[in-house]
This record gives sequence, structure tokens and C-alpha cells, in this order.
Amino acid sequence: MDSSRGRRIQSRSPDRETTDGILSGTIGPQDAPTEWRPVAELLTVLRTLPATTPGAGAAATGVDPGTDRDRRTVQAMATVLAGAQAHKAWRRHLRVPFRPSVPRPLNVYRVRLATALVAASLAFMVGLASAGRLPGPAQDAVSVALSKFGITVPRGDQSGKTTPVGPDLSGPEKKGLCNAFFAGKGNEENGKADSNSVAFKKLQDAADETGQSVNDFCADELPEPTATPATGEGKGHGNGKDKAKDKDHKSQSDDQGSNGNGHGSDHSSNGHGSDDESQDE
Amino acid sequence: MALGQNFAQVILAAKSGEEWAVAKLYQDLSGSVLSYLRLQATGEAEDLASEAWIDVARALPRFEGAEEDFRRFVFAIAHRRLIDYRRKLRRRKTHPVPSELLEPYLPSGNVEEEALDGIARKEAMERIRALPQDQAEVLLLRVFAGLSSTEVARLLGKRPVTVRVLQHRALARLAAELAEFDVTTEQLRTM
Repeated sequence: MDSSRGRRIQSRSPDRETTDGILSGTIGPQDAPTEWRPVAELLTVLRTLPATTPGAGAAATGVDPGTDRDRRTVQAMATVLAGAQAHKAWRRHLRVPFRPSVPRPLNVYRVRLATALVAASLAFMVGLASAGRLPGPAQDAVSVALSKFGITVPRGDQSGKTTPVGPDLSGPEKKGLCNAFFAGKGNEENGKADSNSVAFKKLQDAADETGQSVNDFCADELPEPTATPATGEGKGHGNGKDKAKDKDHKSQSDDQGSNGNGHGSDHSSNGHGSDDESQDE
Repeated sequence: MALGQNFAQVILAAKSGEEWAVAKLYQDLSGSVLSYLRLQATGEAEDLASEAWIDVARALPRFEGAEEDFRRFVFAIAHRRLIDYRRKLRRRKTHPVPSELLEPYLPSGNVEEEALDGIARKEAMERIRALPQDQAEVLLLRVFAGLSSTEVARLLGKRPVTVRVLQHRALARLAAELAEFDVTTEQLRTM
């Protein structure tokens, strides 16, 4: 009997309003549904639990603070509050005004201004970086950063250096450059200039502009290799091993100019043996 | 006993440390607070209540609001004290003697004995103590603190729907037990 009644109550729960009413006490035992009357009664009994006993040590405060424990608690609270009040008065001059922690609404104009400033700064920086005008490390950093977005900007180590322009081929430098070219420095196969050398590249470009090869372009600057054979006895023979035959224009010209004294000092070759022979003589 | 229209005046005086005002605030809610604690922390309820009231005094200068807010404020502090007590209890692993066991040895006319005089009250307290902790907590906060289910949920850090389920289960369990033992309303009254 009892268990079936319990199950019936379990299955027939009160609605939300009834539950709230029973719990808050607005629905008393008389008004509660029949199954819930004992519960409403129990909660009413709970509410009447005495916590203090009036009369035990009525204080001079005018109210009845109940037991001695209650009186001591009230006194301790009053002491804490009075102390807090005194502390508050002492610190009043130092007090920071209270500011509510409510977030301020965003100021649209400030946000726009800040965005415009950031965009302008970025544009300025990119412009400086593109011109290579930033200091080395900054230029490097901007170059690396912009390279991620596919924008090529010179690195810091490149900026600030002057671009080599090569010698002026309209002046006397042309002869020297031609000499150097035919001495094997920068002369690649097929008579083309070494593309790594700015000076030789410029020589090549100048030759190309006139529609000539470098040989022809330099022909008037260099003496003909076989124009006047050496007529001197050439005791020194100058037959040192010359590894780079093409480089012998200069030695040939020296030989030619030696008027057969035979010393034939070959600057470009090592002149093995020739010097010894001439000394012996 | 609600303070009603005098509340604003009383709270202002209490903030400045007036003992009469503090006593009025204390008297208004101390019974409910003590009952709330007594039903969940047997034996230590009085100490906990005193500590909670001292905490209330420390926090009172920052309090702003109406009488209902003050009630919530006090019970929130009492609840935190209770949680601290439970944590401490878990660490210390002590087994304090329930006050009921000491009652026969106490002199007659004892305040505690007088407060618990009446079997109906003891019966009611036992029923509540027999509930699971979370259900008892919700029920007592609703009954003694007069909080709504949403406010209880906020205080306990649970969802309102969870609190409603818990209170529903608590009521259903109490109803089932009372029906099982065939405790009628009249019996409960006359016990």
C-alpha cells in the first residue's frame, strides 16, 4: 500500500508553479495538492525552526540579540564595521574614484582614425622599403615580410650600395679594358664577355651597339698581333711556356718593341729558362 | 521579520558601525542562516554562522541594494562558508560527535535543547538531512533564503534547469518517504 502510494506521487509531480509556491511558502499545506500536503507541512515546520532564544542577554542596543553567542557576534560585526569606517575615512584622500567595469561602447570615429593611421604608416613603410631607404635591418625585415605576399623589395644588404657602372669606354679606359679582355679576364668562349663582369658586359654592349664583335671593336686599340714580326736575334728567345697563347698580345708587342735585343721579357708567361739563358750570355 | 521601509536607514547605520543597526540586520536573518547551516553542517553550524556574519560585516561597506538583495548577499556568504567547511572537513578527516548524541549529557534548559524541542522539527530535519547533498542544498536555499531557482542556480554555479530538476527530485523524494511511512499532515503536526 505504502510503496504504491510513493510510486504514485513520484509519477505525479507538481507543476512548476506549485513547486515554486510550496518552496517559497506562498502555497501552504492547506492549499497544496493532497499528495503534497505532507511536504508542504514539513517545509512549514522547517521554517519555524528556532535559531535563537529570545531573552538570553538582552543587550543595551535596544534589540534582543538572543544568546550570548549572538551578542558577541553582533559586537564583533559592529567592531569590524566601525574599523572599516575609520579606515575609509583615513584613506579618503587617497581614494581612487570608483569606475564601473562596464565596457565603453566603441567610438567609431576613433576606430576609423586609428585604422587610417595604421594604413598610412604601412603604405609609407612599404614605399620606403621599395626605394631601399630603410635602415639595413628594417629593410631586411620588411623585405622578408613583403616577400610572403609576393612583393619583391630589395634586401637591406643591397640597399645603400652604389650600382657598378663600369669604365667609360669613350676614354682611355677602353684600351685597358680591351687589353684585359684579351688577356683572358672575362673573355669567354666565342668571344663573348663574361656576363658576371660589369666592365666586360659594358664592353660587350658597346660592341653590340656598333654592330661589331669585341675583337673588331677593340681592334683599333690593340696592335695587330702579326703586323711586324720580331727581327732581332732574340737571344733570349722568350720561349717560356706560355699556357695562354691568346694572352700573348702584350708579350708579342714587347718583343716587337725590343729591337732584337733578345731579352724578350714575357710578362704574361713565366719565361722559364729564357731568363737564365740570357743571364748566362 | 522584514525590515521593510526601514531597511535603507538600518543598512546605512550598520555601514557606519552602529551596533543597534547591526543587531537588527543580524536578528532579521540569523535564524534562517543558522537553520540553513545546521541542516547541512551538523555540530559546526553555530561557528560557521558566526564566521559568515563576520564576513558579512567585512563585505557590508561594498553592499548596495534592497532588502531582498541583502538576503541573497548574506546567504551567498553563508554558502561559501559552508563550502569552505566541507573542503576543510575532507582534508582533516575528523569525525565530530553530532550534537544529538551529547544532548542527554547537557543540562536541562539548554538553548539548543529548547530550540530543537518538538519531535516534528527533529523529524523534519532528519528528512532533509537524508536527502542527497545537492538536493538538500537547493531545497534549503529556496526555503530559507527565499531565492528563486535562477538565483539558486547562479549561487551554486549550476544551470537553472538543473536546479529545477534537483528541487523537483527533492520534493518527490520527500513526498514518497512521507507516504511510505504514512506520515499524515496531522501526525506531523502533533508529533
